[in-house]
Amino acid sequence: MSPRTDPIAPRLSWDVLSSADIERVHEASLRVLEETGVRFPSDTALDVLEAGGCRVDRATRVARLPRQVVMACVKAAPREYVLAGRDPDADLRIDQKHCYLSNDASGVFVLDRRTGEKRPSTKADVAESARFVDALPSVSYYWGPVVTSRDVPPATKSLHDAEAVFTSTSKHFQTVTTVGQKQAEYVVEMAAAIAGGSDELRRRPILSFMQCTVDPLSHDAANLEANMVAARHGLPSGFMPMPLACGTGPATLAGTLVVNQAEALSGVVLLQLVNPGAPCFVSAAPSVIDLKSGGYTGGSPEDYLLAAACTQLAHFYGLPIAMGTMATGAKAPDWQAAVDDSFSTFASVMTGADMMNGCGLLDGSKVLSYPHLIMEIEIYGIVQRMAKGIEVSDETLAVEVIQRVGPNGTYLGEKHTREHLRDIWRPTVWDRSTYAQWIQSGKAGALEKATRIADQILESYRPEPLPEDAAAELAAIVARADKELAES
Amino acid sequence: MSEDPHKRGGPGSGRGPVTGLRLAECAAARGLREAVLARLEPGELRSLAAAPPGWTLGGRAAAGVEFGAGRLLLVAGGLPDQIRDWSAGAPRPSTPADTAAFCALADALPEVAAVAPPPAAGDEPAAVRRLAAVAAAFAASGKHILAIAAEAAEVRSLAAMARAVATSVRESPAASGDAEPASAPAGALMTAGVMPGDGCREAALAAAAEDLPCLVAVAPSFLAATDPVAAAAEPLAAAIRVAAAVQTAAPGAAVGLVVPPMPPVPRAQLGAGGLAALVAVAQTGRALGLPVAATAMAAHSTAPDWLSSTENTAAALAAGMAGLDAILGAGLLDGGASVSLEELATDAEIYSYCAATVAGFPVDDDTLALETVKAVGIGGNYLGQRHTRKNMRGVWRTRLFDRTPYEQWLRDGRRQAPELAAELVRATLADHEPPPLDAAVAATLDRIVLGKES
Repeated sequence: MSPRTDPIAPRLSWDVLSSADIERVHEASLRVLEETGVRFPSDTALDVLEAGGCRVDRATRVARLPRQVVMACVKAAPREYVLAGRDPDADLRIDQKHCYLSNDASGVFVLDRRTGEKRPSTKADVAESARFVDALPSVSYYWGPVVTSRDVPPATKSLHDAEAVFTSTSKHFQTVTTVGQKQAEYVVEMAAAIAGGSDELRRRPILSFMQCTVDPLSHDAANLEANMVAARHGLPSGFMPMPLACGTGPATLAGTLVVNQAEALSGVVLLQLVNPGAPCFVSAAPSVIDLKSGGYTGGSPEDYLLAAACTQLAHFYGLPIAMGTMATGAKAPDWQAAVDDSFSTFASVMTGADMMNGCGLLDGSKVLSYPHLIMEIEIYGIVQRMAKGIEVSDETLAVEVIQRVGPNGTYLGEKHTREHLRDIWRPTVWDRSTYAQWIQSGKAGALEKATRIADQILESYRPEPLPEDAAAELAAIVARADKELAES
Repeated sequence: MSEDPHKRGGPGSGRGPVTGLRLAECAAARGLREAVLARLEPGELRSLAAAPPGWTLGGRAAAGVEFGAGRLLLVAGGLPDQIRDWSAGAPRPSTPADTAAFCALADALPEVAAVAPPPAAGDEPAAVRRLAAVAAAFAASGKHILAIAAEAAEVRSLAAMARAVATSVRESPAASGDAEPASAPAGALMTAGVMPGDGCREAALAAAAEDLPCLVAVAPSFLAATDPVAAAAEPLAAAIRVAAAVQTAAPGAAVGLVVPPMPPVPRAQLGAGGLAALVAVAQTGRALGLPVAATAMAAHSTAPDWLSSTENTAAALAAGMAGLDAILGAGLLDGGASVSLEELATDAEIYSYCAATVAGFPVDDDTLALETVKAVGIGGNYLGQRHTRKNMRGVWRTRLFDRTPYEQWLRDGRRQAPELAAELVRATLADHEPPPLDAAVAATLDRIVLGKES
């Protein structure tokens, strides 16, 4: 049986910031938190922050966070924890040594595999995408949903999303669309129903939460409420700033890094004040404005420099990080997508991002394409092999074998070759045929191969089903929520 | 796109040579270095100490670029004598016009530091076709030429060509130190890349005798080995021995190493392990004080597509972070068997992307921008800030990435990088006028190619 997850444990590393750089960004972030502050548009959050020693301005809803409070909260946050799967074999150990890839999230369209055209996503797509991810060891957990249910009541969309995910994958689920206290409580209830109660869910969290901040230096009320629910239940959670240099962050990358850090750390402070010791993480998906259109670039060198720097800073604090990775702005799985995805994955892996979010979407995280997801996994595999580096030992130097084979010999028949053949990376969709073979195959390229693989998974893969009683309980919770929230 | 290729981009533009960040030395490099050192004589190691760390890649109409100065340069071209027009599909034999177009495009692209001119197909001996390509490159490009040679006689012809061109290139009085501008030295315009094989040693010695900088080839078959790092020890040591012989014969002569493209053997292509081996070779060469170039691009794809992109992106990143001094092979497809103008355009974009990434960013009072962060405060935007206006030109800008909205992309006909690259090539070749080569010099080059003048 193949493993359920396939993290990268990088041996090579890339430092984009020096120790002195890290200290300067750290000090600057603390100054911004203490002097400018961050807006928390939630009375509950402001109550928590004030009680925890922060200076709160109720009129502007801005909290100024003293450095001693910030650092105490950073210290209180656990360095390691488990993101559990319903299937224990799919557990992720978040330990700042492994990099886990997820799918991307919050898309709103699907490239229909029959028509090839994009169409709005549905609840059935959420279920299908979770089933797809369940089949792929490289995608270690389900983030999202990758596309949202657009055919359900908006007020309970996140619950329908969660139901579709929980019934279609036994991997860990990190929700990014659950906002507001009530929705969050319902989703936690669903997870508890699967886990066997709240205590068991706390012990083995099969659910975690991520919310975006509102750049610069602000939060969204509903997002704060949802993550506070997670913290109270002892579920892992974190906030993802997405500052755009030149727009919602300074044009200089160091300055955008300061804005990103201030927002991310403000989330850690809140979560630790809500429940000291609750598992949490920082996150980031910083980018730069497209100077031509004023829009989101969906991939640029600045993105990867910022990503690498954010990961270094997170580990400086001893905090796990979920890093925006892949998520190309390309409209098709093409040359541009490959450049973006390769650089992005390389930056995240070589700096040791704990969670990498993620694969599967095109057009700046809007459009789901299953073949594209398969091609991104190929890139993940290449970077995985590179990050392993090269082992140098008597066995791998193989001097005796080299001397035996001698000049102009061949290593093909050697026992040493047979023993190490399987260590060599092998492609799934890369084409290595001769030109004649390629013509004979109908010029099948990576996209054609990836499409075949994706179709096969979609047509034949069946995940470990959720027990019937748990599935029925989820349906009942969603029906109850539909009634309560849709009518409120 | 003209003038000085490495001043066009300016600091922070991501268009210049890659410099800055480095991956830590990989353990494999240490192992490979030990294996190589064990194969060299103490006298050879002593003679290598005289080798300079690099040299200037000058051009007849381009400012010099430092090779071996801790920056990664991009070299376009190689030796294939077939070409792929992206719109046509199958490769076809190259013509002299293709060579000229390729060199003109390389001249126009600011990312390209030097041109290795691809020869046209034909019945003439390969060495003659290579010389003809060099003559075409001198006519179509003002940049430094990397001329590939197999034997000493060929190197001597190349040196004669470089000398002929150098007569038309005047150093500034300040540079020459004289009141009257002097001719540029031939070695400023050309580097000889000597192929592995029987003639390698003599060719390298000939280059030194002719005052041409020289890159000695490391036979690339190790890239296809089960364990490429282990297999690299012998060919790398052989190349270093040649470099040592050059230093013994001409102490201080400019010499380095180059890993040429691996022969396009089916099912034995450069993968992630091969890249790691290139890193090890680069770091071993650098540790011995020799600059190292490698054919890290030369995608095995048949078009500038997703496959070529993943190959060359990984290669550029590995090269950039390992301390390689130059990437060769920009514009090659089929594992180095074909050239493609569109691929050259996309490879230049990858290099540019890599340059901007590997260059890192400064952290200081100005870039931390605390005053601006305070001024903008909570919920504001930075667009109107003076700090933004002052620094926004440092943001990397694309030539080939599509960042239009999805619906517009559909309306525009779903154009992808190959189409955009083809457009860029057409527009560039239509607009770009290579600096003219003196007619008498061109005639001299032709005579050297035909063997009528040495």
